[in-house]
Amino acid sequence: MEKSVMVIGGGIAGIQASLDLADKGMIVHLVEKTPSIGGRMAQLDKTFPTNDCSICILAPKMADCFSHPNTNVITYAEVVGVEGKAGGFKVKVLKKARYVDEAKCTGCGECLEKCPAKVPSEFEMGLAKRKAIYMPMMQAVPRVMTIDKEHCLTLTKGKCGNCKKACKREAIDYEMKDQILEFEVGSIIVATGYDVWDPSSSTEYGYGKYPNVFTAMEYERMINAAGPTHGHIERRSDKERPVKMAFIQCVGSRNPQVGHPYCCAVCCMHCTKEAMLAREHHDDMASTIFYKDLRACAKGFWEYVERAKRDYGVRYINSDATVQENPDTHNPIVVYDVGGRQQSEEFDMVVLATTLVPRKETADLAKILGLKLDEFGFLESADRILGPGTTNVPGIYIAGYAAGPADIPESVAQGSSAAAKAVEMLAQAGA
Amino acid sequence: MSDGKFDPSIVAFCCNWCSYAGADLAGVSRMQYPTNARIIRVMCSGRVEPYFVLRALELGADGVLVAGCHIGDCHYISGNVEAEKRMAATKEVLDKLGIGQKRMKLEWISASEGQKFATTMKEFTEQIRSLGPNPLPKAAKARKGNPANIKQKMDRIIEDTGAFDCVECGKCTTVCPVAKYNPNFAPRTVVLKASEGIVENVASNRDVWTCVTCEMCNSMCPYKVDYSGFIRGMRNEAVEFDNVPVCSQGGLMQSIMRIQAHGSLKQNRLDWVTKDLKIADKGEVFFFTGCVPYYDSIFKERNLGLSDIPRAAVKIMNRAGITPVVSNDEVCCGHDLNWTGDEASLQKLMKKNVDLIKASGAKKVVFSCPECMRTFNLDYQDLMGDFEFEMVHISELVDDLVKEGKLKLKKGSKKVTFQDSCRLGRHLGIYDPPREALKAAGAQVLEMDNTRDKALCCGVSAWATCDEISRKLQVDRLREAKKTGADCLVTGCYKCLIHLSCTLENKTQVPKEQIDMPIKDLSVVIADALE
Repeated sequence: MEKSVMVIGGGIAGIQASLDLADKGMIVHLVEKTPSIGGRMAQLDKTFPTNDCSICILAPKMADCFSHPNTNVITYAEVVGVEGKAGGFKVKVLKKARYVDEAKCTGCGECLEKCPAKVPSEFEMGLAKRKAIYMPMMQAVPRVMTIDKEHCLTLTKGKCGNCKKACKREAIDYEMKDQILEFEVGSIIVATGYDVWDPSSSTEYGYGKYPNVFTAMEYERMINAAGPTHGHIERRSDKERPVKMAFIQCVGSRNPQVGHPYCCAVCCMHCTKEAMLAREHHDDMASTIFYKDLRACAKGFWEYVERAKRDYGVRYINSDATVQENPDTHNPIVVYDVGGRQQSEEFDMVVLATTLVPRKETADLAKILGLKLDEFGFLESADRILGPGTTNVPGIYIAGYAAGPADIPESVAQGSSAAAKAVEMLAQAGA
Repeated sequence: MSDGKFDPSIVAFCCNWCSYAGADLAGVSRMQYPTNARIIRVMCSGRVEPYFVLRALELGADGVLVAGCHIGDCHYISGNVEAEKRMAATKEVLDKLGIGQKRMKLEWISASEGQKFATTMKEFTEQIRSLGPNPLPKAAKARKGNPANIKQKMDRIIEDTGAFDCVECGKCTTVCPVAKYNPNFAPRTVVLKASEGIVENVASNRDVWTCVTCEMCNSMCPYKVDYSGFIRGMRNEAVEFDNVPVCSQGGLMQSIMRIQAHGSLKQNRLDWVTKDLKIADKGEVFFFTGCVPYYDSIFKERNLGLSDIPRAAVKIMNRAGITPVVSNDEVCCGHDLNWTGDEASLQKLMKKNVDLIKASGAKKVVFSCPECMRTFNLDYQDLMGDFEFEMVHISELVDDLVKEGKLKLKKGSKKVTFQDSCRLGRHLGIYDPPREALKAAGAQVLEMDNTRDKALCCGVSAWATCDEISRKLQVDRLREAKKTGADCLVTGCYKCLIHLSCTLENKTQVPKEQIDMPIKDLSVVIADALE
């Protein structure tokens, strides 16, 4: 019986599960696909309903998780195979070559300046460029560089070598190979999170066609002081600051037509927050939120919406909306319905609260682990009412958005819950 | 008819100024002539629409006489010139329907020609007597709705179309082309009233006829409510309460279609088939031409070249080694009747067409009209179950033939833009084949701002929604087409061609240079590129 647990996914749910397990004396192997833990929460500017700085409350947890004596954080890695059963899983992990020695790199960044290859940054939702050698964000954990082999000139064309020359610690190793690591664990927690749905296929919103239509995650990066525009809200067409903003909710969610019948659970609050933040940045910002239904149900949420209306002048209109454009000014025109009458209004910028969908890789991982998916593609729990977090495979638990729509507090609670369940299972099995 | 001898009933439309006065003169001069005609006075022979003639025949008249002032004498300058053109088209239609043009007569009788009036009456009565009784069956009585059943019927439509799923989000309104110009119309309000149990409006709600059934709402609705299906169902009920559409051409098209549904006449609809075309009576491929032979007669004046379209389609098939079955016994698919509240006629037409295709031994039916294809694919199969024969649009056939190497097309440098018709696009989901076919024909396909499933409607559907909003939609669409910089607007639908051309031929509020461009049918463009 192994007294250890593997956590797959290093977002807030996975971090919380790892910390709880480690504090309970378990050995935790946290496997994260990207070069850094932190997940989606690290990309957000503020959190609702308290408007806390997201990275400020997350970063300490990331650091704790990494430095805890009982944790082994394996970033840039993926689970590729599992054998065994509850109490004794053998897990194969593919640790991708990052071409940088994690033990030597200090994250000083001298290599960044010398790297000539520029690539759209995933973390900045493509709004800024990163280099082929990079750290996804300033607060990355672990604080080491990674070379993206698709774009590195040395690895693709065999010429350059600038980063190696720049690195005083001699941490760069172009010869590094992918390796398979094997772990024996008693239990597994899956918290692989979500992807932001790409709304360009729903052409009625004009995303990708009209320059001043943004997704909420893009906007989130834009208003972040550490983001690509250093916190300035800018139109794509002319880099001007917008004054009239429109937020459209339920873009792709509650929409069986595009295959997502579920409510994404966050966009009512998310848009409210973003509209408030706009006003916090500039007094003249006038925001309008177009909603199907306002689902502000948790503690303090409705009060938050009321505050947005009262103190921040946010206008709410109960209608779905579609977007057109004034070709002369590139101003988006939002078309909406009031009591069965078609209305339209010109704005400076439109932000789409796109739905959140299970990650593509979640289905592959479910196959490897033998987990069931629900009708929406999320991981299915053994019992939706009385057994959330448990799965059809004993010893494997799920948490966070991978298990279904959830906001941050809920994901944290689910992380803790999955950790507790794993410990309980191992204790009963005599570990 | 008391003695068993056929005594014709004749309707005579006489112009107020000449022919009616001529009849008066015949009367006061005590001239004898048969009493078979009922005279209907009209202000001008130009007032007589082709529909009046067909409707009179539909309602049991054995012959129709139209009489007006001599050419040059019209009290409205040129009303009789118009009448001459209209009646020439009417005669063609009567010939094609198999009723025969001899059942109608156009005569110029002046106020001083009492004798001519009496002679004309005598001769025409004898002519009709020799032709025998009107071959059309007695017109069925108009269906009358029972207000007690309407709630139940509407509930059924709500259930069939998923209308209860509407969450009133209003997305349908935002994309509805009619709602853009008519603030009182929204797809969701029509549905909402019914699902709240307000059904009395079936008898009075004109919104049901305002919808252009383009299905933009359906394709956008998050909850997949079938709004246009709802509208269609509601129309079928509305007509029973005399809530009827105002049809283009006065209802001529529907009349032609009803005659095909209820009569059993031998048509003469193949006048478009020229000698160079190879067609067959039996074979693997059936080419369903649709109502184009009738449209060709009705719109002859407009020089739309409508007959070129089926000719082009057959030419393309011939070149690829296909000899299609083209039948004189094909009848209208019933699309327009089905969308104007007459599902009963659709069912009659359906049986005739399906029997005909089965008898031909065809395994594939090729359509050049998307409305026919939609009706076969969705409405017929819904009522009859799936067919064994395959159904393809001519664009799909061309695309396949080119890809299989069976059809060679010339390369060119033409720039075109493609109008996705509602039926071909949103109703049937066919977007790529027409574009691929055009590209194969050497054309560069430029896309309009609103394209594919967002394409704007040509403004009219089922000859029942032509109004000032239609014109606005047409202008919008033509503007978009012009903006692409294409040399030519290509459509895959007869109706888009007819309706959009109508805008170009008439006065509009925008300068002509913003919208003026040639409009061609896809088959014609492809046929022009045959090697």
